[in-house]
Amino acid sequence: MTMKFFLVAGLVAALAGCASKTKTNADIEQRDLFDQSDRRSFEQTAELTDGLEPASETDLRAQQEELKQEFEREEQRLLEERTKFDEQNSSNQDELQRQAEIKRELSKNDSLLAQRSIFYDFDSSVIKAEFQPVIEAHGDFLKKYPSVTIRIEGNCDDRGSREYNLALGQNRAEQLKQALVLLGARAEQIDVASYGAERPLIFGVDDASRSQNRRSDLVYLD
Amino acid sequence: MFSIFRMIKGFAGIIVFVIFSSHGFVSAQVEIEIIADEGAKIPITVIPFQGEGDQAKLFSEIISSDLAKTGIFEVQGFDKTWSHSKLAADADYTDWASREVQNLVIGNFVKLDDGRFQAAFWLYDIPGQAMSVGYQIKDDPKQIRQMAHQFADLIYEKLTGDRGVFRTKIAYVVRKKDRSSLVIADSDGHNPNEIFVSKEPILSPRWSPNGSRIAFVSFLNRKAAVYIAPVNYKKGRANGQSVVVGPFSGSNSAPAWSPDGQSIAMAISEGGKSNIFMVSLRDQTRVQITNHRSINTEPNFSSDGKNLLFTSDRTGRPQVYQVPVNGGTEVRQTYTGRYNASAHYSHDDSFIALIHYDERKFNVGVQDMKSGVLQILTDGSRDQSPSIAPNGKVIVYASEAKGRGILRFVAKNGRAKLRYVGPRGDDLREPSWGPFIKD
Repeated sequence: MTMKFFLVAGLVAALAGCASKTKTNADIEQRDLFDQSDRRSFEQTAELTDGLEPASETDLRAQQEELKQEFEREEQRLLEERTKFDEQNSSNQDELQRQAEIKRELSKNDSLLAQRSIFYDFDSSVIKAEFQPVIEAHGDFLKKYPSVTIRIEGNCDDRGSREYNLALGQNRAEQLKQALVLLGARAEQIDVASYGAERPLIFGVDDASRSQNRRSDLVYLD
Repeated sequence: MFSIFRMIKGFAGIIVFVIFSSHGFVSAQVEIEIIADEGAKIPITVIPFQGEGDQAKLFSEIISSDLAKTGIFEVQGFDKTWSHSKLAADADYTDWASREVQNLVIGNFVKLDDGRFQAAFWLYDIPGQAMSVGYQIKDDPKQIRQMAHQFADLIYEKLTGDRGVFRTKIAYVVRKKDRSSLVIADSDGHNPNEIFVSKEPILSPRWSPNGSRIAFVSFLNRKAAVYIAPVNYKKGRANGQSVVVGPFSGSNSAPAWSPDGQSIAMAISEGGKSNIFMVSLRDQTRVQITNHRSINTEPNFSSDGKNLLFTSDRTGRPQVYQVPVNGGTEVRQTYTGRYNASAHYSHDDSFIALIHYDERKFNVGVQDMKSGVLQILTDGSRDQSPSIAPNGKVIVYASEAKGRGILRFVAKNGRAKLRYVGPRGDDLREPSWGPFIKD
C-alpha cells in the first residue's frame, strides 16, 4: 500500500514538475512536506509491527523453515545415497557380468582369442599376415575391456647370440604391443617382457621345434 | 680352415681325460682332442716328482695335461726306470740326451712342519745342457693343483714366450631342469663352485678386470636385470651377496666392464629399441653411448678402454660395430655373412672373436682388426658365446653334443680343440674366461 502511495505521489510530483517549468518554492515545499508525512506514517507502521507478537511468529516461522530445509536436505542426501547405492549395486552387477563375460570369451577354445602365441621367421620381428586375425581379435578384446591387462613375452629359438636374442624377443613383444595399440588397446594395458632363447616351448634342435620357439606369448593377467 | 679339417681326419689324436671333482657335486669330464698340424710341436718330458704319496704323480700329470692341451707341446713318454734322483747340479745331460729327451721337467715336494707343502721343479734344456727355470713354492696342501698349474705356467712362458693361463678361472652357467646356476671353475674344469643359483635363467657372466666380481644377467620380476657377484678369484668362490645394478626400466642386459672396473656398459631397452649405456658403479648414473632405433647390444671394451664393440641390427641383420666410448662415429666391422655377433676384443685388441652364421650353422671365428680377415675356427652347428683367454691363445665357447650344452676350447691357431662336458643332465653354457691371477 505504501508503495502504491509513493508511486502516486511521485507521479503527481513528476507531473507537477513537468507541467510548470517555472517551479515555485511553494510547490517544492509542498511536495517535500507531502513526502515527509508519508515517510512518517510508514515508520510508525514499522514500529508497530516490531513491537508486537508477529515478531516471534516470524522467528518461529524462520526456525520452522530452517528445520524444513534441513529435513529436505537430509531427505535429498538419503535419496542421493540411495541412488548411488542402487547405481553401484547395478554397476557391481554390471562389473560381475563383465568379468563373467571376459572369462567366458577368454575360455572359449574355438575362438581366435584362444590363440595366445604368434610365430616368427628366424631373426625377424615382423608379424606375419597369417597372424593378423589373431592380433585383431586380441586388439578388439582389449579395446572392449579396458580393465583387462596382458603381458607379451617375446621368445626366440636357440640359435645365435643369447644377448641378441634377448633384445630380439623384446623387439617382438614391443612390435606386437604397437600392433595392439593401433587396434585400440591402451598402452597401459600391455606389459612387455623378453626371455630371449631362455624359455623354449619345445626342447628340440629341429626346424619344427625351433619355429615353435620363435614366438610371442600373450599372457592375460588376473 | 680347409686344411685344418683335413688334418682332423688325418692326424686327429684324441686323448680323453676323465676327471672327477673331489667336491662331488659336479663331476666334470674333459675330453681333449688335439689336432696335429704341419707346425712343429715343442717336445717335453715330465717325470713324476720325488716325494711321498699320490701327489708325486699328480704334479707331473697336471703339468703334462696343461701343456698338452695347448696343442703346442708334444708330451713324450718316459721309462719308469729313468732315474731322476740326481737333480740340478749333477744332472747327467748325456744320459737324458741318449733318451732323446729335449725339454725335461723334474721336481720334488716335501711336507713342512707347519703343514704346508713345499714343491719345486726344474726345467732343463738337454741339448743346450742348461737349466732354464728352477722354482720353489710353499702352499696349503689343498692348493696342490694350483701349485702344479703355476709350474706349468712358468714352463709354458719359458718355452713359448707367452703367459700361461693354467691358473685362471672360467665362469659358466649350468642349466638343469628348472634351475640355473653360475659356476666358477679352474680353467681345466676342476673345483667347480656355484656362486649364484636361481629358478630364472642366467646369462652373460663377465669377469671384472681384476677378477674380484662377476657381472651377469638374470631376471627380476620377469625383466632382465644386471647383477654383480663379489668373488674370491684365487679360491674360485663367492665372496658376498649378489646385488642388482639399477635396475633401469625395461630390459637390462649384456654387461661389460670398463678396464678400470668403475663402470659397466650394458644394453637397456626402451620401446622397440635397445641401446648401450655406461653406468657408473659409484652412483649408478648413466650415459648413453648408442642412440639408434634398432637393437644395439653386447658391448665389449677394448683393452685400452677407448672403444666399444657392439652388435646392432640397424641394417636389418646383426653385425658388429665399433664406437669410441667418448663419442664418435660408429663403424661397422663385419661384412662377411649376414649374421655376426657376440664380438670380444683380444687381450691386445689385435683381433676379435665372434659368432658367424653362414646360413647353415653358427660358428666361432676370429677377425683380424688390421686386415679385417675373418677365420672360422669351429665346426659345430650352434656354437656361441666365445670368450678369449687373457693370453689371446685360446677361445672357450658354448657348443652342444647330443642335444646337451657343453663347453669347447679352441686354440686361436686352430691346433687344439678341447671338449668340456658337465655331469649328466647338466647343460653348460655362457663361458667367460677370467683374468690372469695376481700373485
